[in-house]
Amino acid sequence: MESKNLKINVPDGMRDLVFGDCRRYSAIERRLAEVYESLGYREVRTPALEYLEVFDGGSALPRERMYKLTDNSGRLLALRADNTMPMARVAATKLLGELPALLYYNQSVFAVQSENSGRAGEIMQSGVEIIGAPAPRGDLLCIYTAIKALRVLGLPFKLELGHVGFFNSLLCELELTDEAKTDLRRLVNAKNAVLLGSFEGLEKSQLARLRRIPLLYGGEEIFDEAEEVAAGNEGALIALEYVKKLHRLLEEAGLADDIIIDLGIVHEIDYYTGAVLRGYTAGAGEPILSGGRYDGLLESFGHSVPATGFAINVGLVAERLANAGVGENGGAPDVLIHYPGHEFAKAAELAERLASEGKRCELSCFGSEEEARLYAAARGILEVVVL
Amino acid sequence: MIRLALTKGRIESEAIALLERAGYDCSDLAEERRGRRLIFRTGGEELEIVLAKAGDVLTYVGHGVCDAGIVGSDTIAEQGSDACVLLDLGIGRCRFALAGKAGQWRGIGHRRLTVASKYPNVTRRWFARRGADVEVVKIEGSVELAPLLGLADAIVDIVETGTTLRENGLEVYEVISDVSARLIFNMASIKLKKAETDELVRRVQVAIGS
Repeated sequence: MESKNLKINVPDGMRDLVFGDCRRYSAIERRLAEVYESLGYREVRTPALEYLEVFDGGSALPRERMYKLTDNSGRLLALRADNTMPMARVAATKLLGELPALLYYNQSVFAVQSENSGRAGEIMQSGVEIIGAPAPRGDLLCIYTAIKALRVLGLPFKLELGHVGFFNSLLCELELTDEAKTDLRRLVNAKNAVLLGSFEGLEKSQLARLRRIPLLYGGEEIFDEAEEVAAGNEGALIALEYVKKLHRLLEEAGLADDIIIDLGIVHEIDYYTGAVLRGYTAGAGEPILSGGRYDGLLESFGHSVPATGFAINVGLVAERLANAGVGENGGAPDVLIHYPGHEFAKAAELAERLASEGKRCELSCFGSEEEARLYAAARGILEVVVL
Repeated sequence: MIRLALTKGRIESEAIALLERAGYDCSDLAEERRGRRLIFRTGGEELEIVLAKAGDVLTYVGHGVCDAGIVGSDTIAEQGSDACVLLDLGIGRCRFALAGKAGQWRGIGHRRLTVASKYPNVTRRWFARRGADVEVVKIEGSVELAPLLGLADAIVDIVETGTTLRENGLEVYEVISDVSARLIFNMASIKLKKAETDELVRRVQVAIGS
């Protein structure tokens, strides 16, 4: 076992954010919050620790991958493993009197990642939940918010629209064990056309149909093929009609250019019940936005209320922006004020005056002017004022 | 342009021949022109080909720094992957097999077995499905040595012709599954570069005659 000085290292998957990273994270969170607030959303913050049961309902994250600890009575707690479940808990316990509730949040979720995978264990998410708004109005608001949010990030993007009802209805008519259905769901979700084609226990015609599902992605040209795949299955046809209807309404609003379709979205998260969303940008290997409708989730907190929402992965967005050189410079103050020790009052007065002119100024921590000038040069501070 | 990670070694030459048949000019990868470079371009600039070890192909495609990859299903089974597996290329065919000293297999009984493998996850899963309690030992090189030296009762490995097994007095006890090379894609890449990835799939499909 390699010895590690635990005191000077961070645990696997955890990261320090220094300067430029923080600037990008803050800017993204601030801009997104402005979009959400401009559309009437209100902020909610939930505790970092919850009873593990809160996260147990929808398998957003399997128990094994949650960061767990115990409270003083030995009950299991989990570090926030998902944002939607705590938001649903808040809505079901505190907001039922004021529905619909438009909520937004900027807070991290935590997931244990496999060793050396290079993936973050703490993921900053910025997202919304629309509680108490049924389809299609809730979905339209959600998609509209997602597009506005993605646009403000300054990255080229595509927002993908799907519907879990399409695959789920086709799955329903197959006579398979629950275990086999879980396997099928996993294969369709991963677009594993190869293993799907050799799936055991199904007839040739059923296999031929299943194999086409992962390939039902692209623009509206896929609707015709989707119709063939769904033929004879009422649930799948209803889901398809609904996606077409959303697409038409978005098109009429001039928003369809940013939209792509994937009817093969199954989602690894069980709690989704209707339209689902994913956002992609070039260079990020995974979605920068993920979400959808979860009409059954509040039931697990005792109330049946329709709901939908999405979360944006702030870390991934920040990485892409860093890659594009955004937010690399900046952060250096405009002026360094160097002053003799007894002249602090003058220095403070000058700092106030410069601040009122909109200049950022730093008070020198050095005793000698020479050191102060060297520091200013290294730090990129263009002006040094010596009192 | 699509960036494709190609597994070095066992399936490399077959994969390059397949890409050539699919109409991609891979002369940049020819032995005499290759040198020590790791990144190559096809003649028409349609593909950028990256040579990598099998496990790294999955890592690069998973993170999205490569759009596509050609890798054996043995590595996908062992390492797990969230990439889209769109085509079975039918090359690099072999089988996962449980093997050991000829005539010595007693089956899964009450005795705790020790099994050596380069594929500990595949091994553990296969025995776990049978409810068997086994000790899995990870071996890096020639796994055949482990039963010969008395470290393991059996091995789980990929077997092509079985010659190495036979020459060392070993035999296949049971075939676990078939293995072949797959064409995989990053999920975001197939969405954002659909026209290009569709074209690659179509041309490779024609080349393998499926």
